[in-house]
Amino acid sequence: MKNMGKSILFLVLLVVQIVVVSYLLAPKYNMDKYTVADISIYDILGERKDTIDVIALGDSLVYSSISPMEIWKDYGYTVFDCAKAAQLTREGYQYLKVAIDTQHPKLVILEADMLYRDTTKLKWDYDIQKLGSKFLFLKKFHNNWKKYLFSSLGEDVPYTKENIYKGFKYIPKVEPGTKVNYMSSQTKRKEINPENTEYFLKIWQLCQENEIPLVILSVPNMGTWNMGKHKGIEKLIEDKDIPFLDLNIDNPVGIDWTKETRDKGRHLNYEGSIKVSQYLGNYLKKTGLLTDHREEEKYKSWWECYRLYRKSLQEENYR
Amino acid sequence: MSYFTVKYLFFFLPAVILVYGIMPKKIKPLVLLVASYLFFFWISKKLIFFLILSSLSIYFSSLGMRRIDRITKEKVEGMEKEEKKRIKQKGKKKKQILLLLTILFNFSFLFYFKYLNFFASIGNALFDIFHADFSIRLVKHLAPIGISFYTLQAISYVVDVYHEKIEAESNLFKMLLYLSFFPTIMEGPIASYPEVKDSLYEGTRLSYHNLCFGLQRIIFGLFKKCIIADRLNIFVKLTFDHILQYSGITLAFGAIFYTILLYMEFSGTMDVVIGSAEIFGIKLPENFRQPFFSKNISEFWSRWHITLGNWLKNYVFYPVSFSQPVKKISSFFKKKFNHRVSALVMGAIALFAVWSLNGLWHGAGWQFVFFGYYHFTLLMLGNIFEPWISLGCEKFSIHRKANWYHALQIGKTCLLVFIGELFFRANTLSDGFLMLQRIFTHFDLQQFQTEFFHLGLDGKDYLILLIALGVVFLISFLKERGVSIREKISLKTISLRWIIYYALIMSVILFGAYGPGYEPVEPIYADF
Repeated sequence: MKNMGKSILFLVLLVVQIVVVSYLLAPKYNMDKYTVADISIYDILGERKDTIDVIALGDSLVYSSISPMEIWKDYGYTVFDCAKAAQLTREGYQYLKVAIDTQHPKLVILEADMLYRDTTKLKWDYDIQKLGSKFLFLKKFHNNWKKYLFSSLGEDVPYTKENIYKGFKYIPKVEPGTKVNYMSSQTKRKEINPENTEYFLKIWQLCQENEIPLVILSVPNMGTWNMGKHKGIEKLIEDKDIPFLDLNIDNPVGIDWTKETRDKGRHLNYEGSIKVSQYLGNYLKKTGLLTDHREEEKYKSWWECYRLYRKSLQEENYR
Repeated sequence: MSYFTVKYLFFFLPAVILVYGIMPKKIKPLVLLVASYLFFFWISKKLIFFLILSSLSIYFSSLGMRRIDRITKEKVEGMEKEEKKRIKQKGKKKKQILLLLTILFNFSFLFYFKYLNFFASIGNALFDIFHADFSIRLVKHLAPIGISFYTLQAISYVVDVYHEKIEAESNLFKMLLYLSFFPTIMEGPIASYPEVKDSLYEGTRLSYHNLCFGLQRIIFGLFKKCIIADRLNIFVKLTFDHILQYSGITLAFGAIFYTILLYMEFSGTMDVVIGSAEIFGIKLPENFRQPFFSKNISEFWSRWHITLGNWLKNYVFYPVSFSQPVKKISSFFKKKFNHRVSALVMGAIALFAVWSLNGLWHGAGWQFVFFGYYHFTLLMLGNIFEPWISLGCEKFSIHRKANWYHALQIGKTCLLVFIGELFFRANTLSDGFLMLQRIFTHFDLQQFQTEFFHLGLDGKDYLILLIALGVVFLISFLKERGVSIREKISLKTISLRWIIYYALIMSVILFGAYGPGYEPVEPIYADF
């Protein structure tokens, strides 16, 4: 009994220390409503209120194909990749809800491949992961000790409260894709499962309630995309006023599959992402919904992020 | 799921402890067995079939041997001496066949999963040389987790039963648990049956002492892995993957850092493994004994991956040394030359077998084969030159027990180990040679200064590394001097003890190289 008491006291004191250290090291912004725990899950909460023009929702295809900083540089639009690896539609819906709580985007882009993700993954597993991220948010910020301790030693590590990549992930690896005619029109339509359909409708409804146009985008993806999926999306939106931009048909972006993919055509690499970002920037311009913010004082931090983004790419390249 | 994941440390292990704790003594070993099979299934799914097959093969084979022994004993009762000998020989023959079949059966899986492609590619290269219009198709497959470890355990068990060193186990569940025990299944230690059987099936009650000591050990393992090994990973990966890009000094650091990384990863894993078992009152054999205090390569291998060394000694070195052909060769050299030469030749043959297997056990690749023969050569050179070194020291009045002499010996051993590990980590054997060559030919201090802080580590990372390595060194140094740190700490006041524990835990949480910007080391030995 005595040992049990000691163990409990030890654990309580440990938790207190972890909580104190977590709050000492966590960035202190956007905390009026959301906690640092939320910021560790949803990067977009690190952005200033009402500064994001476009939210790109999806899985790894989004953060591999759309580099918001490239669009910023050329067009002055603020795009944010609300994406994580293997993101499920129910997670995407949740992310969008959080995002539009602090942002009023002019457009939401939904990457189509997410609608074909297998949702049989256990829900409790997802809940445990979410709970883990809530309590273990120090994972994301623990390295901030560098900012506070021994700051005079060596080169100071650049740190910004904002995500300088705006959700994008820089991966320069090249592994050529070899599939031939992956968009063969012979392929039969692939149906979207009920859960994905349900959450797609919720996402659409949320956009409508907030008067945000929704666009479905399919980025170049030789690995898992095909004409069957394309037909499935067409069927899904046939009675809805939702534009569908499939960059796999006739390769309008001009992806060179021998150089611009990192894993045999499943995801694009950095070179491929530049092409998609340029194409998307041009598309956004044509919609006439957005304005160029490059000269605006409110968006000054985007230029600072852009500088750090470039520096970071150079360092990564050096590696 | 590695032992360093949240899933293992915060869900799997606590759940097993909880269920184990509430079950009656008799059921406790069964809880461990179910947990072990769940753990294995979690990682290797249907490949669990091969683990079951291995367990069943040694179980039935050992019972078969026991039966042959019993029948032979019954038969020879009251027989004439000659007849007795004949029947015993017959029984022995049967046992030998059974042993051989069991060994072949178990090694066939290991060969299929680990070596088939390697030998097939050698075959294909030979076909190419002889312009044969034929090639063996390489098969891609996943191996059952820990197959190299549990196969060796299985062989050791069945050989010991054959030699009647141990009794054949009649309880199938005990046999299943021996091969599958979840803390050891991925990276060992390779425990012999007598080493673990008592504590494994004892069903020891959970105690505060075991829980505390087990957790301490786990935290120390996390300290080594998360703060040191994971931090060095990016540097090591970059240098070994882009040899032509970096200066010789940076490459030398890459080789040194890899050796440190390997030690911290493997010994850290052993801390978690041994700590996990300790919680259940199960004592596992140690795999490391301060290897970097070794004065020569032979000593190094008696302190590094000890259980593999012991396995090779007991089941390869001795059997080869005392085999009839080697005995014949040895006596030939004894007659022709002298006892020393004969002993050297006998040792060389046995060591050659040991190091051929040691290299191949680590992986199916020429760099591993080279790694094995590199150490074989060093050991042989050590054996050959020892009398001359001893004579030289005597002649020049060098006191071989002086501290400075020991320091020199330790330095030399470390240097040789670094070179060996360079080849061990190199992506190919030719990469290893290229890297070694560049270390000596591309000495560019200016380039090194620019590179050193751009390989995933900044000044603060290096400072943390120095402090953490200092802590590990201090603990190793004290252990080397026979001081048990854990016992010492347990005698301190509660406040001091807690401060030490909190410092360790918080340093892992704060200074661990995890999260954005870092890439944790994959379990290295789990691949072997």
